[in-house]
Amino acid sequence: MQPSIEPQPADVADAHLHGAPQLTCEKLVDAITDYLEGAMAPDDLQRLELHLSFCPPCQLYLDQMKLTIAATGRLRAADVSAEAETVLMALFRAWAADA
Amino acid sequence: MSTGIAPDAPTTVIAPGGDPALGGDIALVHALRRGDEAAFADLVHQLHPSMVRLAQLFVRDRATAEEVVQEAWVGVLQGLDGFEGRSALRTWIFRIVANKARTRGRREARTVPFSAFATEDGDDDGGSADSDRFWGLGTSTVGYWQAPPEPWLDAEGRVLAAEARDVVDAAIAALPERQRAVITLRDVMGWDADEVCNELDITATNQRVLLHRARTAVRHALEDYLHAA
Ligand SMILES: [Zn+2]
Repeated sequence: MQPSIEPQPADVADAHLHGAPQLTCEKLVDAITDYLEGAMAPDDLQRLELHLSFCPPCQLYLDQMKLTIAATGRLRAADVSAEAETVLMALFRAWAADA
Repeated sequence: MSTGIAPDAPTTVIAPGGDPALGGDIALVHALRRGDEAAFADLVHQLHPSMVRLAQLFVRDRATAEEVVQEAWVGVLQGLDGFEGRSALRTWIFRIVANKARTRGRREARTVPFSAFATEDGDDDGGSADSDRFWGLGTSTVGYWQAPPEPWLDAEGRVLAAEARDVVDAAIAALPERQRAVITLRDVMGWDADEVCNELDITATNQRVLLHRARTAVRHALEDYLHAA
């Protein structure tokens, strides 16, 4: 360990991959939906997971993306306006009486 | 996608030859045919907001979407005898909404060219959504974070709180049409990728590209909101 030289992320990636094309943070961010969708080729997936394992900012980005998806899902639960409900229940009663 | 089963609906009736998971839908249909108002009210609470969101993808404004959805409910009740449990009740209802909303949208002369994955409306411009945040060419760290994301303080609490709803809603409303459609169906309504590809007549790859751009924009809006406070 050489504490005087701080390794650049690129060096860390190279050390792990022995010359395989490295995945940058930008590439990871571009591929993050493919990753979450389970749509990555096995080699690419391995490189992405390796990158995540040594890159806290990318881990943070991934966490924030998951949180974004959860926040978007919160829009699903919405109220039905009293007005709409009144109209729809009247429709239902008329239909049921007719059947 | 979960089925539209009321929580207290009996689930013992199984559609003959159909998916056992759809049995609850059949039971619910029987309850509706009996005139069970509580069952209908439950169904309205579960599906109506999503139906309005779906309709809004095809028509001009919220008021028109509400009208279309009211027509769709009439169509659902009139067509209930024809529902055979081959698909989930929820899927069947959404199909009715989408058809009515599309017809209405066409009558409004509002073109919704989902089938032609065109590039001219801004869906397809730009490369990486956050490319200015990475080191550029000519640096030894090209492609690595120059402006890394900052932690969102009390992220869970604030992002999932009611106040963030409006931020997310506004960010989605501001998206190009196809991105808005994909993120609405996937992340708001919870449809799976195949259902979205079928509904919008786009490929799996296009669906992922649109979803990626939309999610990136929404994350960005949340970031701006959280850091501004
Ligand atoms: Zn990284």
